[in-house]
Amino acid sequence: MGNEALKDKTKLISDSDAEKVDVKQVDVICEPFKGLSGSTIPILQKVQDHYGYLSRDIVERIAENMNKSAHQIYGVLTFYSQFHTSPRGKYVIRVCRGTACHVKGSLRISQIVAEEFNISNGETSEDLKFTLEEVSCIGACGMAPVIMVNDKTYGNLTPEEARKILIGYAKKDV
Amino acid sequence: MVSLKIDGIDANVDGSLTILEAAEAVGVNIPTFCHHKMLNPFGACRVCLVEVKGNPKLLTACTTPVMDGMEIITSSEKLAKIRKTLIELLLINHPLDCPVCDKGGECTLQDLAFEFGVTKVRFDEVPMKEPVDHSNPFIERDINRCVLCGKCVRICDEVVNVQAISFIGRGTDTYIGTAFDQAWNCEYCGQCMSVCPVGSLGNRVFLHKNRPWNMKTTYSICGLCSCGCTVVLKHENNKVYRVDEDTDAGINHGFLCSKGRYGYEFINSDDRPEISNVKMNNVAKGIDLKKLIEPSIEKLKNIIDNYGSDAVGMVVSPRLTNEEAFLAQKLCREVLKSNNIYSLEPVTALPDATYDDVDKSDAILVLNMDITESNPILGLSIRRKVRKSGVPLVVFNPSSTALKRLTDNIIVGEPKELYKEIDSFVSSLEGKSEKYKELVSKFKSAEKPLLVFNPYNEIDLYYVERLKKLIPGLKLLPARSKNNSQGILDMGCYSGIRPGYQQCEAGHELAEGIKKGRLKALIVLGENLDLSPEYCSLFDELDKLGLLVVLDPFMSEMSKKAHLYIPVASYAEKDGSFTNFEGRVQSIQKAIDKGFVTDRDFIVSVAEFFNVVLPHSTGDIRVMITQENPLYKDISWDGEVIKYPYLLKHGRSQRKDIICGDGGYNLYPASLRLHSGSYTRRSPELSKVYSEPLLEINPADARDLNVENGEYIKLISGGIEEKFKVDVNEKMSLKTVSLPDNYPSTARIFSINRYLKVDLKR
Amino acid sequence: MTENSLGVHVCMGTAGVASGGREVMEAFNEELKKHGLAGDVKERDCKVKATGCRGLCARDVLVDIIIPGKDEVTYEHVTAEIVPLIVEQHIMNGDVVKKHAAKKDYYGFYELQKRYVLKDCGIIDPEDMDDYIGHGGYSAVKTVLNDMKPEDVIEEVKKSGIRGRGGAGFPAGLKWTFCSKSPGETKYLICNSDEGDPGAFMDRSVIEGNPHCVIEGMLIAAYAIGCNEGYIYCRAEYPLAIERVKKAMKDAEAGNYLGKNILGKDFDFTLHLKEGAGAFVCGEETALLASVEGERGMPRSRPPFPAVRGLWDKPSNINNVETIANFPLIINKGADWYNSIGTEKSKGTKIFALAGKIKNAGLVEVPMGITLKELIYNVGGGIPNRRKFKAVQLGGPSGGCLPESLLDTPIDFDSLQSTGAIMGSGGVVVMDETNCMVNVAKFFLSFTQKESCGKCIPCRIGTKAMLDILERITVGEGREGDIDLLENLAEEIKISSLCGLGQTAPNPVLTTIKYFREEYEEHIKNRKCPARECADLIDFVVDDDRCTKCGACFRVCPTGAIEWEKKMVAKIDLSKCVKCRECIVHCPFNAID
Repeated sequence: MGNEALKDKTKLISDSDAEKVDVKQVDVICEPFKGLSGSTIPILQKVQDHYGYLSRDIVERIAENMNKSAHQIYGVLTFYSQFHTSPRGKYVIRVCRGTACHVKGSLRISQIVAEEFNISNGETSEDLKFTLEEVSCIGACGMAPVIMVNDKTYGNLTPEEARKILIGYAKKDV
Repeated sequence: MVSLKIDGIDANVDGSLTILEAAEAVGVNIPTFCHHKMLNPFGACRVCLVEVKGNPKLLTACTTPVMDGMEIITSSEKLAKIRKTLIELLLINHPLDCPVCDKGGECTLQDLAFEFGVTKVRFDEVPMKEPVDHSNPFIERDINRCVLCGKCVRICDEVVNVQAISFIGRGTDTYIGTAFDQAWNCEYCGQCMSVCPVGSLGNRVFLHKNRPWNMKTTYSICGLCSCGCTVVLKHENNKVYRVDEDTDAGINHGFLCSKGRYGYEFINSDDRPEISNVKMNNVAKGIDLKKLIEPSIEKLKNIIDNYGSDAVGMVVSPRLTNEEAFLAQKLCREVLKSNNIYSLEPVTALPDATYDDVDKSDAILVLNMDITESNPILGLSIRRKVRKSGVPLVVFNPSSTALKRLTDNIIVGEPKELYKEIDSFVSSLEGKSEKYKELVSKFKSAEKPLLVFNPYNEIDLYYVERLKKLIPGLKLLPARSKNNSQGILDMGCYSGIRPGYQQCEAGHELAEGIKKGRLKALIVLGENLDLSPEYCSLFDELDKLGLLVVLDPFMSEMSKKAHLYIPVASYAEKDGSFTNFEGRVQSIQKAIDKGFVTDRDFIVSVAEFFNVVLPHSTGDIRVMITQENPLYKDISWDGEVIKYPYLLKHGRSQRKDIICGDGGYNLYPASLRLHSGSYTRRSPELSKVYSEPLLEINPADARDLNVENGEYIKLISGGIEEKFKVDVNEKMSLKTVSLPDNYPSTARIFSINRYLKVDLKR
Repeated sequence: MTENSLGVHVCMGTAGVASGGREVMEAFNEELKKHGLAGDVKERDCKVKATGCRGLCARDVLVDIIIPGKDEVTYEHVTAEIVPLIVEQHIMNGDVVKKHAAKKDYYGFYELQKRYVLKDCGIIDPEDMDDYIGHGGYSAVKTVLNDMKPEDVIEEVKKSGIRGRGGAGFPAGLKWTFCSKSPGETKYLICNSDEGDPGAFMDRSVIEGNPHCVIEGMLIAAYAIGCNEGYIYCRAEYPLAIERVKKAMKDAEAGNYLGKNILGKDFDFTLHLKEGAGAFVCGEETALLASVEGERGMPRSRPPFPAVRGLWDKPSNINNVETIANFPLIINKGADWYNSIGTEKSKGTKIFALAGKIKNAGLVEVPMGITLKELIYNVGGGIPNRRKFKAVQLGGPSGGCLPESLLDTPIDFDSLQSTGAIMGSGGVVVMDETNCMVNVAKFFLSFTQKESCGKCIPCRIGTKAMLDILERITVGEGREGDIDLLENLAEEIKISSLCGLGQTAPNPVLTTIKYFREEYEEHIKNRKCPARECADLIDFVVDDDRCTKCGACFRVCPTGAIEWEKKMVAKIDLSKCVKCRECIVHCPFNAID
């Protein structure tokens, strides 16, 4: 181990000591997958379901469990849109930008989200309340344009209707 | 066999080949970019697309298997257009850094742009402006120049199996990096850099020092460890600027380790004294060698006259070539008439298996070695084999090793526990124990099992013998440490053994000879007893000698004690041959001349004073070797493997007292990947990364001792108290620590025993 | 449910759920309970059933009321509020609530369709295996295991002429033979449900509406080829589909339709579900395999093909969901019957997802050979808002845009391919005169650019280069020679890309240039967007002559930038205008430039 590299190793270790996130659940999730091939993505999905996002310590713990390199795991998770390495907002607003919705004006709706909460695609508002995600197709094309806020789907929206819904969420738990 | 046509040329090739390989076989050149012989075909760059008659689609030559009756066209207007466009597309983002880029002149992008006739780019340039990454001590990373061919990622994955870098992100945003963009933290082998086709991964030791068209090329064999890698020395004006590789040359297939690649600076080191240190008078370099050594020879003759020939001894280090070693023993035995010819290499185990045997093996056992550290290229060969074929791999080692990426069967433990496990393994082979039943059955049923072991560890040799008896067909691979460790023994540089391992009269035992004053004069060719656990305790006794002559490129601790010290040439400055751990004899070539004499020059000069003419040229010495060394009788000096008269010297008994001393921690000697012996300590870039000996310790133990990475800790053992810098590493087993054993401070600690119980205090 | 039962079928496909299907179901359950009709009570029981998508999603929530002895009645746009009315008036008193009942055009929607594959969607409860079996489910598996040898099954499917429904259109039976012939004990069968085409929801509806038919189709294929293990790879963006498939798999296993010794025969088949993680490229066969193996979804070169070296280097056969859903049909009704539907080279039916500027947006199943005009106007109901048809986009981002002149093209693999478009997975997006074709090309290219895996140079960098050119054109910085440059680059990307994504990404650009070249030229030469969609090329000025003073624009402007009073021509205040184009979208007279 080289001296320069040592500095980084130190950071790694003292980080996990100080980290508030309890990584033990990662071990629990990884356990049933031991010995099975092709389990990277299901593990990442389950771990993200539990923790909400995949931080550096969590990814490193997964790597340890799977006897793989953390860089390789990071390479896999950054490929897929589903995985996030930073915390997301309480309300994830998915604006469908699929063909049918685009043709029915979903770009404008995306702009409205940006106007209301000052976030662009992939960003989370500073108060961690809202995340904007432009998605390619929710599959509810019959009701275009469509947005989803967490699990709820809203369709057949005019831009102002969309704005009203968003303001409704903004007012929640204030 | 499959018949096909490539550009009208008939080809008859094996059905397992790709179009690219078939084309190569008939001399047709298809351009490639992301392809590398030693990696799985990737098919990403599309440069090797070819037309196949009857198929509307273009196919990549690197991935497509040949089929009977195929008619392939490798160049056409259509293909020319595509190839041009591909380069144009790369040039959209690739900065035109050629004037300041080290790769200029050896850059595939430059070459292909020229070959395909790209004179302008039809698209708007969108240069990237990422900062250059200096976090890796040896590799300069300029991500703006990266063409995403993926060779670096693939080699780190498929060959080295460390996966220190990966493709990150997707689509246009893809880049090559590490998890969360942390600093590069890897083995620094430089394999990635060696395959980068552009100037994205650069050699920081070479950075901005020269241009490829200025440098000359000399092929040689690396003079550091016993892997025997072919290196390509790039030099100009008698200075080595870079060590390159050649995928098609040598047993290493173009792979090198970090010290082979980046540790060459010692050759150019300013530390190499130009003035010989003669305690009697100071003499300048370049003076007649005979004149220089004459006073010492007088002394030598005096000692022989007064005390007899057996008061004189010679110590040969593995840094010498076969030819020099042969001459040395001839000088000692026939000219000085003394049987006291020594080396610090054991003759207990001789080569059996080669790299080829690793490739063909179907079960590999690594006994008590951290093989990827001690012999990196051998380690690489094991990694590639296990990764490719999934053969069972079992490793016994006090602490975990890099091989854990490839096998779960890494059995670790503090020395006593470890040997208990090895005992269990042997018992399981004998059917007396159930513990390793499953694993041993894999070895018993294997057709080509292989054992890699440490020939320097007396304790282990007992187990090697047992394993050889119990596992049918087991091939043995004693992993020697230095470039010519094997060769000097082959040449009889060992008391009581002639060239070719025939017995002859033995001289004094070296330690006794020094302690009891029986040796009055020593000629030391390269060896440094201060760094040997076995002999360092006698280091100060050397002052008792009437004459100490030391030849060494550097002013080592040994050199400082000498009455006559002569600075000599390194491996890049002489001709000759080395024999590696396989028993393969490979020639080295002189690349540069810094005006230093060689050990050979010295030996021949000494002989002259005794009126004996020894052969001087490499050719002449070799003729004599073929006459006097039956093992080397018919070799070509170009890569043949010697067949040895025995594999193991029998009669080992099991050592019961494995570890001694008292204390709460178990200490064992570590192998260093970044250093080979002491020469590389003179390479500043390498030494920046590893300078003083580091004590490796487990994080939990470090916490208990309240010590953090980089801090110092006191080690107490056998009356010695010494401070060492700490390297906290998760691979270490609990209550087990390691230190390299070949530094002046550490050699003394290990002089008591290989395994020690020690105390550690903050 | 007995023959005497009364049925209330509520659409619970995603669109149905999104439109409030759950609330409607709860409302029905409550109301029926109130009237004492829930469960087995009195002479007739009444079951409220969640069913899959019946197609006309634009009219969700759709509810079918089935009273034995009476005509089946469909209600559209049902909300929880009107449920009590329906229960009281129709169910209790037999009087159809005409106000909410589906109009005649709803039935017209089905006239030209042949809902064979979708036959159970909308009728059975997708979460009830017994319902599936009650409607003839798993009978094809029984036939295959009892009466046919694997080779016979392959022959039958070959004879049927069915071609892959995922987009490539490769003959499925032939594909089976490659994998079947490959040496080796271990073979994998994979169901590609990574339907990523924006605007496509055929596979989703099949899985959500009838997951067992997919399992049955896979069993048939596995038996024929010799696979003992299979994977359904479903994109994570379909949580409902995943839920339903999971349940179906569990039930099928319990019923001995999956696992070891299926139906007592010497045939094992273990099925696993893998969720995608958000990458469109994983719909490509080899990228899908990489994803199942736990790696980045980067495609691999072919040959060697997955049939020879697939999942974990073992022979694998990958079929699309819709293709698989056809297999039970072929076995049950026979290859000859299947042959009788469709055209000479394109047999059977195809499910399409109609979307965009079309009245009847939703899911339709039509026989191959029907013309585009029939699909759009007869089945789809034509263009709403009195707009004119401009183009129809087929095959998602891999497909092409066809103009009015090609509306008589029959829908079959080869006819469509000759136009420059492809059948694709079934997405059909209709555009009217307010859609700019350059913008459409840009939109699709942005999508493929975003989803490109990044492995090969032509797709990674080439599509970006194309996109940059299109961006320039849409903001008025087009240059002389741009169109030719686009065409040349597009052709080269098509033939040099590693996988289908790159090979087809240029299609929207190529077809729009081919059929709408003048529009590109307008953008470049005159810096104008004829469809008025490219905001940077619009002046946002009302043309006094064309303005009919209707005030529609005034009403929709979000920033109050339009000045208007009754009987006045509207005027736009450019300092307040944010270029959202709502005015242009809503102006029925195209009076704003």
